Amino acid sequence: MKTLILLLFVTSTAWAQQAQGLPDYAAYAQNPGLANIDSLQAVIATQDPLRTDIRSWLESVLASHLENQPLDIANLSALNDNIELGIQLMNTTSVEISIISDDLLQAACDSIQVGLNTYRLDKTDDKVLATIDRLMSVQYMVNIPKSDNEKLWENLRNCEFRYLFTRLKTRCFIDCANGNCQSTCQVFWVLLVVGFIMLVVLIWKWKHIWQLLAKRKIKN
Amino acid sequence: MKRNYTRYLTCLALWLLAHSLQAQYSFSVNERMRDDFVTIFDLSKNGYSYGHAIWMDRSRSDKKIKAKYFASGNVYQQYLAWKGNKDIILVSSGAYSSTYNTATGIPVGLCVDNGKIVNRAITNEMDGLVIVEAVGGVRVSDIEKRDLYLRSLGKKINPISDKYELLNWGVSENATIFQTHLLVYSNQLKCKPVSQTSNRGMLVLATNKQNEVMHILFEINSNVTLYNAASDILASLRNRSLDVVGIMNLDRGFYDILEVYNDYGRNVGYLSGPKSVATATNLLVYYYE
Repeated sequence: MKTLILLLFVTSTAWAQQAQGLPDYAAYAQNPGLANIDSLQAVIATQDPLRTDIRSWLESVLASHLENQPLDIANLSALNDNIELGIQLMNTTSVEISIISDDLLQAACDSIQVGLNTYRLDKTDDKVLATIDRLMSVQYMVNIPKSDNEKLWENLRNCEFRYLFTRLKTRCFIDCANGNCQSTCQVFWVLLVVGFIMLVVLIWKWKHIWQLLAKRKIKN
Repeated sequence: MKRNYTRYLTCLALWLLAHSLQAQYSFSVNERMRDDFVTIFDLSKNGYSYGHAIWMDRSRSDKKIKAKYFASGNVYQQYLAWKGNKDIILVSSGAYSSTYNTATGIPVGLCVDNGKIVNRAITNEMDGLVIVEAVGGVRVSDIEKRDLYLRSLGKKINPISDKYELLNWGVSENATIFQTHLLVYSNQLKCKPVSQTSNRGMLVLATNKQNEVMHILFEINSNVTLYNAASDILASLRNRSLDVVGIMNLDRGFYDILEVYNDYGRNVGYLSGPKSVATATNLLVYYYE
């Protein structure tokens, strides 16, 4: 049923666009394509903005373009090509084309964000960082997530002990007591228990250990 | 004698039950400032202290209470340059920043900083869109509702599909726009009962029956979940016959900044965050003019 409705919508949109004298979007996306900005502007210039829906035609062209060249995070080179296309479209004076460029770059950001959040993209990979930097250069910021372990080491390096203590108290005591123990806290508790056992053994057997150390010293 | 014991125990059990079910904060006035338009309340629940609420009657003050937001770049230097002799009520950390591989923070989500576009990308992870107007007003919109009304344009827009228009509006109006977690919108809770606990900072926009706008900053210094804090605040304000326009979460993680100043410009000691303003990656400022 959904497919039927979608088919009807696409057919009616295509019919409406052709009735307004706009080229077929699917064919246009193949040739001359979105990268040909002069051609895009020529199409827009020939239309009466009051009578035609340029924006929905451009959206259809973009959708068709993305069907042929998807924003695939597994293929960084294709993703970068799409980002460059978005930047190229961004630098035009046409509002309609700028909106399409925003759609494309926003979609690229969303794909990268999903890739980072699901660990399908490696945030330490220079190529990935270069792609993110390219987007940043045109004010499209991707939020690079930090894991709890990264935050822990960063704060240890910066001697943020007060913050660490507060987080330790809430995450590893209160949250763990409430049955919501994060992996970093599980490691913390294991280390704490192992450390405690070692300390008990050390205190219990300290005389024996001391004698062993002393014997070794004499031998040396 | 035995019957009396049973009666006392029943009364005690009912009293304990009634108190354990209390899901509202009690407000008691601690300090009044700025011609009584700003009030600091002590918050308590079930006899325990939970923190404070800084209540700012913006409408009643004839809009003398104003907000300003610094969203990006060297925030502290910008704040110092702007501050001059202004009567600052409070400064607080605002939205979330990403600091991965950067010296200064990058705002997470769509951001226009005083008319300058900083981030064009909308994040799907936060549904609150906050607008701090150049005249000092604050507005909040639920991105999911897709009906942000822009008065100067005279129409409602969809922040996602009409983003280009929204950004242009922000630039032309010299406004500040940013995204944050919207915990309550139009008296409805939007967050789920997640179980991570922490101290909380929340900015509330509410209106009374006379349609007067109040900005209230809640500083909860007990370890509570977002859901519990938001639902308690909502219940407390609804009980006071206020309409809650929105409750926005303020970053109280690494950048836990709060400074409140009294009428003499002195720092209110019991309302002070652990981090210095100088470390801010963004700042929400309220001032009296």
